[in-house]
This record gives sequence, structure tokens and C-alpha cells, in this order.
Amino acid sequence: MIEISHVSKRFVSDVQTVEALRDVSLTIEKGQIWGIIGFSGAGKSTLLRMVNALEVPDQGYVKLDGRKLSDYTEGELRGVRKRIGMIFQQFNLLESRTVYENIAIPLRLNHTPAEQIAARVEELLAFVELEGKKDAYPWQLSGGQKQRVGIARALATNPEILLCDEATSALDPDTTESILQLLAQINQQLGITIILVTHQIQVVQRICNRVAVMENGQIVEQGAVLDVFGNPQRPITQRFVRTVIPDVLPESLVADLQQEERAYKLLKLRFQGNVAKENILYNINRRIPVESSVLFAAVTELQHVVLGIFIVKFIGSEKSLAAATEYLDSHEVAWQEVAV
Amino acid sequence: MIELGVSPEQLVLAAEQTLYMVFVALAIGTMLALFIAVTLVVSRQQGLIPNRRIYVLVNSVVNTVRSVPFIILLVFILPLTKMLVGTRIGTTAALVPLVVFITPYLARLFENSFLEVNPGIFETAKSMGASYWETIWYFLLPEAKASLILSVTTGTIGLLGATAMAGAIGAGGVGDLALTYGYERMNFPLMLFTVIVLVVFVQLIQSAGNFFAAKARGH
Repeated sequence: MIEISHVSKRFVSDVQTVEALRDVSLTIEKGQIWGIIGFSGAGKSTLLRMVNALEVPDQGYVKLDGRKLSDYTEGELRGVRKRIGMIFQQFNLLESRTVYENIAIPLRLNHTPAEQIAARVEELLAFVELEGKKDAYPWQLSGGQKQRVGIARALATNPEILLCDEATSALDPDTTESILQLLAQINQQLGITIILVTHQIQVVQRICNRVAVMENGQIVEQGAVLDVFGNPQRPITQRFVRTVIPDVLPESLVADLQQEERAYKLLKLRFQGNVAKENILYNINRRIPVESSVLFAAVTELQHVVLGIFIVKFIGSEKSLAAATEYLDSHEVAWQEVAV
Repeated sequence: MIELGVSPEQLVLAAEQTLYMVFVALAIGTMLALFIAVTLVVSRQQGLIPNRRIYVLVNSVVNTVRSVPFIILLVFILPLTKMLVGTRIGTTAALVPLVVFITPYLARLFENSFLEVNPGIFETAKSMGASYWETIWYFLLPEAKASLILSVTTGTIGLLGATAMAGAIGAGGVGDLALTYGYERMNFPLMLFTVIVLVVFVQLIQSAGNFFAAKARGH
């Protein structure tokens, strides 16, 4: 378990002072995949580096398995870092070394005997599907292959935690997808806790089960991906989520609505899980004297749970509209009125 | 064959003296320069162990020694030469000023080689729990290797030029042969011959350097 508690960090230079982190708290349980999302300069990389003590907090503390990192000696910290793998946006491979040598480095640092290194590297190469590239140099590899080498290197010493610093930001969408699949596999098969920093909401949507949204050195929203994505509270979170789950009416529909002469109500409905499979709208139309029409719908699957966002126009008397919303409440459909 | 005005033995001896001075000074100078360059890179502000006082001290010593022209350095440090090798003249005596000359020169070239290394690998090293020494040994040196080889190549050629002046303290060598037998006796064929020999030396050194640097890069 990783406990980040009221951590603040400020970088002072001759030119300026940057408040990189302001009173940030986060608890990460074993086996979770956390996505830390924010625009550049939000402080997310600094937060990530707190976990393996590459950055030290000015205030607050980071606890690993119940012990504060600040209580470790420099030698002990090196031991801690060997239990935490890290991968980078620019891969940071040794350009002058082969794939084999790159993956072997952490093992050499541990003084692992040569035969064991050879066996372990082969095993890792198979795991990241780079069997044929053992003797290649980084310049002969594609971006995705380089990141696979980075991942194999990070896994060499069987870490418990994997830190990913914008690990897919330099990759094209297809390669990103394959790297994310590999990360999900690492989490499921090896039980490794993963923390990934990204500015790509798709990455969080694809593999994370927890998310923390950062802005100006603070975590403005955090929680289970399904909750945060389903009902984003803060403007920045809404901006991010909107790019993968749109929930605003297209301009042309708004124009049409302005022509509507009858009294109507626009409701944004959120269906989650099995609720999405029930015939809610059908039942409303059948039982209550309202006319409903779906103006907009977006359906996404997150963590194997279906999430549907519908914007529905209801036309009817005050009374029947109240009955309709009551029906929604009784069937656990979250709704809110939308103004045009 | 063209008459060179010196015996073949003299030519061979001069070549041997030059090679001796270049390679011994180079070997000692490279070791010292590596140490100095690592110190500079590690102690600089963005280095592994920033230490302003050490950086400023080493940096100014390197600059100071580099500002003295070799011909002046040669005679200026004669007392040091006498102390270290017991004599002020001869090929071995020339090694002292040659080392003093080439060490700061190589140190600067090596420093540049180290600065070319992707700074991201230092963070990577730290994230792997590498100690400072391991970071230098497993990350900095291997990554800079190809560039270091080219720096040594440049240094070797500079050193070859400097040995010509070492004749001033009786060190002999190809350059001295050209000056004393070629220039002072107005023996043009000999001068031409030594120039050709030096050109060939430089070509060989540079080709070897390029070859090993490419190999170190895995190309």
C-alpha cells in the first residue's frame, strides 16, 4: 500500500518558484491501476516521483507499506527503488547497448549470477514478445518495441509497483493500445500495482480502475474510474471525460430545440451497469402520459460495466413530468436537467 | 630513391620516439582526464552530486593549464619535470609536459562527450536503485563510450602536433627531425617526407577512431 499524505513540493530557481504539489493526498492499494491525469505542469510527474523518492516532499509524507520514505537511509532507499519499476515517455534505453544488455542492467546492479541473468532476460523477452530482438540495438527498434524493452527492464527484478511516466505519449494509437494491453496483463498476471501518469484520457478509460485528476499541483477529483467518468464534478474532469464520453448536445439540435413550441424538459440520464439493459424509456412512455424522444446518446464500457449517457426530451404536463422523474429515481437512473 | 640526408636508422628512431611520446602521454593523460571529466560532470549544478566548490576549482585549473601555449608550458614546468623523472631533457622528460598539456585538453573533450549523454538515463539509473558509482560505471561511461573514443582520437592528433615542439627539450621525434634536419639544413625532400609521414599517422589514427566509435555505437 502506498500512502501519500498532505504532500507539498515547491521548486525554487533564480527565475521563478513553482508550486508543483499543494497538499496532495492519495492512497493506493495493492493491485490497483491508478491513472493520474492532468495537463502538462499540473504536477503529476512530480507526484509519481514521490513514490520512489526521486522527489522528496517539502511537507507531508509518503508511506510505503506503513513506513515513511523519509525514515529510510540512502542505502535502504536504493533497495526500495529496486522493488519499484519505472518506465518513461522517452524510454531512456542505453543507446549503446543491445536489448539483452538493457534488460540485464537491473539484474547486474543486483549482482545476479550470469546464468540467472540469461534465463531471466529470455523469460522477459518472451513476456513482452520481443524474442527475436535480443541482439538488436535501440536504434533498430520502433517506439513500441523500445517501450517493451523498457517494460521488460522495469520488470526484471520482480517489482511490486510499476510507475509509468507518460509511457504511451510518444506512441501512435495502435502501439499505445498494444502497450496498454501489456500493462493490463502485467497487472492481472503478476499482480503488480500500476500508477500511470498521462494526459490522454483514453489511457485511463482503457485500463485504469482508479483515477486522480490534477490541476495546478492539486488533486481536484479522485475515485473509481466508473464513478468519476460517469459523473464528473469539476470543469477540468468534465473536459477530459467529454472527449471520450460526449454529453453535450450538438449545435444543430440546440437550434432545432429553439423552434419547439410546446413545453418540454431536457433530462440527461446516466445508465450504469444492468440498468442500461432495462427498458426504462419504454416503460415511462407506456405508463406515463409523456412523449419522450432521445436527442443524444453515448454508450461506453468501462471496467466491463456499461455506461450510457442519454439526453432525452420529455413533453408533457408538470404532473406527468414529475411522475417520469420519480420513475427514474425509483429505478436508480441518475438524471439531471439540462439547460439549452 | 630520393636522398633524404638522414640515415634510415634515424628515421626509424624518430618514428619510435614520436609513437612512444604520443602513446605513453595519451595513456596517462586519458586516465587523468577521465577522472577530471567525471568530476566536472558529476559536480556540476545539474550533476549527480552537485558541488559548486569542487566544480569551480577543477574548472579553473583546467582553464588555467589550457591557456598556456605548449611551447611555453614545456619550459615553464621544467622543475616539475626534473622532480618527476629526474631529468629535464630527452624523450622521457618530454612526457611530463605532454601529459600536463593533453590532460586538460582531453578532460574538456570528455566533458563534452559526457554532456551529450541523454540526461534521462541518470533518472533511470536512480529509479533502478543504482549507486553513484554504478551510475557512472553502468550508465554514463557506456553511453559516452563512442563519443569518448572520438575525443581520444582528436586528442591523439593534437598530441602528435605537440610532440613536434618537444624537440625543444631534446625529445627527438619526427617533428624534431623535420625542423633540425629538414628546415635548418634546408632539406626540402626530408621535410616533405616527414609531412607525408605525419599525414599518414593522422589518417590512420582518425580512421581507427571512427571505426571503434562506430563499433561502440553498435553500428
